[in-house]
Amino acid sequence: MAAKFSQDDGDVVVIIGSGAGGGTLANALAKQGIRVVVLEAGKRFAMSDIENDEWAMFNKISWLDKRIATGSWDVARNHPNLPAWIVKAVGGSSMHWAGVALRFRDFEFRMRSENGDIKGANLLDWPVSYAEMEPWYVKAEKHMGVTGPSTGMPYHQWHNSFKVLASGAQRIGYKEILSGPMAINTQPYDERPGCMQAGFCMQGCRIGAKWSTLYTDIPRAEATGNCEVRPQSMALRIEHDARGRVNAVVYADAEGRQQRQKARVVCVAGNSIESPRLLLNSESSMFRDGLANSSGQVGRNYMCHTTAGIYAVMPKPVHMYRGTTVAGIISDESYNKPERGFVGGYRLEILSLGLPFMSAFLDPTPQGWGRTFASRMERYDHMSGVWLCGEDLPVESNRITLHASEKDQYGLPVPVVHKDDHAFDNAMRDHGVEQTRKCYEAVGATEVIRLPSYPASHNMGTNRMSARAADGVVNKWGQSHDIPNLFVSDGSQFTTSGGQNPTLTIVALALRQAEHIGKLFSQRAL
Amino acid sequence: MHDSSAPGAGLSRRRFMSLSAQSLALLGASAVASQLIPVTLLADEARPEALPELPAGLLRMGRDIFPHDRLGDLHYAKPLAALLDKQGALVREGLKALQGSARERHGQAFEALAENDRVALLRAIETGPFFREVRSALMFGIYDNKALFPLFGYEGSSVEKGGYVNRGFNDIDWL
Ligand SMILES: Cc1cc2nc3c(=O)[nH]c(=O)nc-3n(C[C@H](O)[C@H](O)[C@H](O)COP(=O)(O)OP(=O)(O)OC[C@H]3O[C@@H](n4cnc5c(N)ncnc54)[C@H](O)[C@@H]3O)c2cc1C
Ligand code: SF4
Repeated sequence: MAAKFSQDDGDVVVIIGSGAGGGTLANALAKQGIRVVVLEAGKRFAMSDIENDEWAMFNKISWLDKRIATGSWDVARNHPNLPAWIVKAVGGSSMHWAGVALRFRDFEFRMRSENGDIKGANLLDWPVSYAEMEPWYVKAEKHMGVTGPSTGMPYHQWHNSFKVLASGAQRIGYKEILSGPMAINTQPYDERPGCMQAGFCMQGCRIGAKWSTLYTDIPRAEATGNCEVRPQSMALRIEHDARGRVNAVVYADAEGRQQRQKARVVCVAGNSIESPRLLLNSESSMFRDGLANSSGQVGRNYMCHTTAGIYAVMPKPVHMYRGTTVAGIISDESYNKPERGFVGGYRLEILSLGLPFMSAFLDPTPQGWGRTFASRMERYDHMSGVWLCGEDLPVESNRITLHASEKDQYGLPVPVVHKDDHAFDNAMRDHGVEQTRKCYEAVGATEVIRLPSYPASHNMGTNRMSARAADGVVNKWGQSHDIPNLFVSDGSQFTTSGGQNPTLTIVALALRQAEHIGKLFSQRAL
Repeated sequence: MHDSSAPGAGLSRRRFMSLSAQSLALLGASAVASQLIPVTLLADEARPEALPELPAGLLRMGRDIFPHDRLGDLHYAKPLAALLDKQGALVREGLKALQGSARERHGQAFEALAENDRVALLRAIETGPFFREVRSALMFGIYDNKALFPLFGYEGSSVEKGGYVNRGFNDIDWL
């Protein structure tokens, strides 16, 4: 049964956010007998609230509180108040995510050593290696139900859109062509059914074939009797005692009333815009630049992957919307080959959009109307498309800051998300678009259309891990360098982005962090 | 969801007939298009009383923004009428300015101009709030309109039909 803890109970771990990082951590701590309160800003939806309707789900669960995008990236121009696509609900973005569950490659943990200092980038090695992470990847894959060797679940059957891309890829000589790994069941696994190829993965999986903390970790954490989830509870600030240890979280409840939960440990998992924002908003006379910010790196090095959408119009119908949204990955370019004019790698991932989203993303610039636009939309059912997911270099000035005057409904300064693409990001994007074009043209595409970047669905890096306290915000366990009982438990820990979708790594880190916190508890070190 | 309950009163039957005759002619002209048109869309065309009254030029502008010749006027007029209900002043003033520049440049009403002249006038205002609102209303009204999904070859919600696992997710046969 779900626990109910007193706000004066100073012995609980307070986790802020119930998404991929926070939800996983809550379950992994609760299973060890550690008592946990999860504060989640969004509402709690039931699986029956999930609809196969793009805008209905977007409006129901997205984080729509005001944000401001600045900088030279596409997103600031096309989506000035929606820099990122993130969920505000129990389950967090693990509701919207598409299920691609890739590991980082070995070199991606040491981009600095591999590539040296790169001008304009704030490159750093992770304080953890692939070898250290490998067993945690295996655990995460079993935990989430990822197709492939760890679970023995077969990869998905190729759907129409992937068959098109894959044939093209084969013709231009690509070899690493797979419909996984996906955290989407291809057969019943972990009390959840196999995928029925319904094609609305990014709206939430109505049947639960895709992993989400909403219907796995969260209810399981509650079932231990050690976890209480409080939806519609927006953390406003983290408080600390005279020694500089965090000891409470102030939050706004559903009615907007301020509440205060005492805490033994606080774990921040609000995704990479809200997590640094909360730390910055928690400044005090002792921590004038915000909590955990002696390095000045809180909010900096914002990364969201180097991306582009590329849609090909094929000579005959494809019906890309039939089947999983993203089960199709081409990986030949996912290595560090600086001779291509950039560092790090990228993957080409199939991505289908429904008609409503296609109309919104095909050309969101002011020029996106008229005969060309309409005739492309009329060939919607002939389209197949790819999303580029590549390494995005950390740049110190790409960062989350607090707006000087604008406030949100909670009275908190609105976050400003600033990003200028690094020259290597642009080079990689052009390369990826060109390679995709070649694939599609090899199977007869009549037109290949390049879309600007979508609002960022992958957000990373704003509380990065570092070996030395001067270089980053947290250590290799996600523990603040400055405040030992403050942890970061989401993608904001990433030192570099890797050319891999981030969630498997977020989950692996959360499982590993939970074990570490458990150890520190038993040693009475926290 | 985007259906407007806009007033049916004040209908200009003649105007409707001329516009829909135009679009029906285009429909007939394209054999491919007529195959694709579901019966319900044609049925809409047969109910002229459903076409809401709009200020002169607005429907033409809407059709120029997302020109699908095979779509009936009603599918443009409904979201435009809903927008008028919500943002009447913005739309009327924007349209007045558009008509003003049409007369100034070409000495004619916007809707009477040739397509390339209309498009040029619209390009000049595409970043302004009036144009953006009209475009956005139509983007939802047309492409997020379940009744029109079939026309674009989109099948919409599928979970209630068991997804596509047995309904063609991998049926491509031309590769
Ligand atoms: C459309 C889409 C497709 C995606 N596809 C993939 C994919 O295929 N593979 C992949 O690896 N990744 C994918 N992602 C990214 C993935 O969803 C994220 O990487 C992951 O969910 C991030 O986990 P997180 O714990 O950092 O944050 P989230 O999962 O976003 O959770 C953060 C939670 O914290 C809550 N919160 C924030 N601030 C506060 C506060 N102050 N107080 C209380 N609660 C707060 C939020 O409401 C939210 O519920 C996708 C994302 C989207 C949007
Ligand atoms: S395609 Fe599969 S995973 Fe995606 S929503 Fe449908 S059933 Fe769920």
